[in-house]
Amino acid sequence: MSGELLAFYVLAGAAVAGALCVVLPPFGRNPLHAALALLATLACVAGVFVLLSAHLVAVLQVLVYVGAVMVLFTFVVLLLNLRREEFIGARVTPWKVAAVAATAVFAVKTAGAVLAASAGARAADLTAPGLQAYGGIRDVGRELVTTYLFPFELTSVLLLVAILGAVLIARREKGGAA
Amino acid sequence: MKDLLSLSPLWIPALTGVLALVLDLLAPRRGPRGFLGAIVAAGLATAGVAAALLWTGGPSLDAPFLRGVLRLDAYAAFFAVLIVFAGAASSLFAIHPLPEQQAEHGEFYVLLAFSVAGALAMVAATDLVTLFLGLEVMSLAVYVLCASRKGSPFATEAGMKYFVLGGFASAFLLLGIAFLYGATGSLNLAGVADALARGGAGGAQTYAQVALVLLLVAFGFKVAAVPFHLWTPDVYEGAPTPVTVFMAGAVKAAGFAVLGRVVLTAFQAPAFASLPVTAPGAFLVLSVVTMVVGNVLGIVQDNVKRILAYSSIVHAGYLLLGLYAGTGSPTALNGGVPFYLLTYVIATVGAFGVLSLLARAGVEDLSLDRVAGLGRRHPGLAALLLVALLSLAGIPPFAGFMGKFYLFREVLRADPSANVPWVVVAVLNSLIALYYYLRIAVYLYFRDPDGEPAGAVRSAPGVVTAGVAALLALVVGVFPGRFIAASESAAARSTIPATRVEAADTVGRVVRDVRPLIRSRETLRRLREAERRAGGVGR
Repeated sequence: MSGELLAFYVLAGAAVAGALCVVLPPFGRNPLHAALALLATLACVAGVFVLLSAHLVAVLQVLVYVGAVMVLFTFVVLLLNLRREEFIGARVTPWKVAAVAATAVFAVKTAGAVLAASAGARAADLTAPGLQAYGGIRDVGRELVTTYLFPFELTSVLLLVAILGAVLIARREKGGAA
Repeated sequence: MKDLLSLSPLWIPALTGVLALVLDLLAPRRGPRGFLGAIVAAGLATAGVAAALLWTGGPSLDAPFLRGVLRLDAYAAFFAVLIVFAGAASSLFAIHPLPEQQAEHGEFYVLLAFSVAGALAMVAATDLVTLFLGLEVMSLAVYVLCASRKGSPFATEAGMKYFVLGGFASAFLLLGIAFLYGATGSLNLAGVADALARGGAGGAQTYAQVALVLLLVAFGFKVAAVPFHLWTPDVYEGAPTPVTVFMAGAVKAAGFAVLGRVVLTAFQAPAFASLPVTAPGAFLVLSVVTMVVGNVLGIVQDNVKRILAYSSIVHAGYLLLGLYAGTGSPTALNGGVPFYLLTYVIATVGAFGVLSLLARAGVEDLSLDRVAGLGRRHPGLAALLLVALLSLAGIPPFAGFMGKFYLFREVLRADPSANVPWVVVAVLNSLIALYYYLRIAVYLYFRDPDGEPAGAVRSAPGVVTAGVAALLALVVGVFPGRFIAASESAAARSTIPATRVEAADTVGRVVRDVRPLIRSRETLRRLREAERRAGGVGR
């Protein structure tokens, strides 16, 4: 097993474990703990990006998600001051059992498909010359303003809608109080 | 310039949104905002006309970066017209005649326009990234619109529920796209289709099956198919009724357009037929479950909005049956599907539209007991609602009947022997559905209200729009020829021919584009050095 593969398994495993901790007890019962588990997941995903030599995306992942978004999350959690008991209703209901069963079936099937598909697959050599530089700022930037120019512009509309939506909902509460 | 013109159905709604936003800021703070609704409706109507005029010619984009991500053909145009119709109607229904109630509604119209722009981008997309972004623009705006009614806990609950579940569905969609990319190395639908048809590398089709399941979950949520329907009644009921008009009309039409295009393009390679999960098989199962469960739950409701919400679920079931049975070849979209959507959108816009005129007259509650006797109090509105209901139920001479008739006939034509049981199931379900449509009609005309009766708003734009919808239901039902022809030509272009898309093949492109770039830099450096050595002016 190469070092790269080992690093991948460690990072991917930690990312999945962190994601599970976000929703499952005992971490999931405390919003702040859940946020911290999410932080670990996001950081590990950044590591996986590095392994894919998507360096720019990895840096952005750390800056935006691990940095800004998580700080915001933590602030919101602290400001809302959620109590443990407000946050959960931990009862085993038939729906939850069905959901877990469905998830398990899907996970097993997916794992089977992935294993079957990867058996004959040939790994791309990301250290090949020419690929080594790929994933940097220049290449991603070029893609954004050439192939993906239209989706890129569409993103600006998406952000505008998000801002407007936030304003509408936030102002609605003020108006409701008035 | 030509591209700009061809793209006009996409940017006109977005520009209308920006215009409405600016006007909202310029207008007096507490003044009425109804004029924004008229502006947005006019802008969307312009976009609809542009779509009808421009997109009949087929793909005509020059810029390579647009050709890769958008396809402006009869298919996109057909659904664009439906979406724009529902969007404009929703905007007109939202115009409130009481100025004090609409002071804060400026953003409502802006978001509606942007939502339409997103839906149109989604319908025209041939690239999964564009598709996802279009879907998110549309959905994000609708989440907010659902929660936009001031101080209403129901609306807030509806918005929250739709937002959380919609986010979940988006995650499924993204995961599906990721699997599809992993299987084929392409984000472009034509490239995906090509890679999967050629067999791909290392069990690509097995991989792609996971993607198929995930995509079906995501789109099943958007079009409200059972078992992904649980949000539908609550959200349709809780949201402001003009928003329900938009959700039941435009969002559903966009969802079906994309579902048809993506699945029929990507997953119809002959090699798929032997795998355990096939697209037609999944459509059939979803269709039958959706029809039966939607009807059973629809019968026991006693709120008009909820009944119509379940009715919209059942209609999704009929449409899924159409997706199951392609006409001619399995890759062709059944010609009845776009036409059925047309008749459904007209009728559902009319039905929810009339309800929106009732809902805002002080009484939020639209239970059957409250709307009872509407035929005596507001005969005009009751008649418009009745037309929409009869059309939804599939009673001649209204559009819904032609829609059902044509769709079921086309399903039978696709496979005259094997499809008989499914068509029988669908017809039986239409008969069951008749019960709750007529139940509303009976309450409208033959019962007395229990408790405070639902009043009606005197809103000229709303009444006119409802009237137009009723008229369209009649016209399409009596003279369906042109509409069916348009539907057939749209359906004929549903799939995108599989082509090898170099641009989507990242690794290939790196080797092709980046390497020469590196080499040319090297050359450039050497040239400069030679220049300097020769005594020229260095840097």
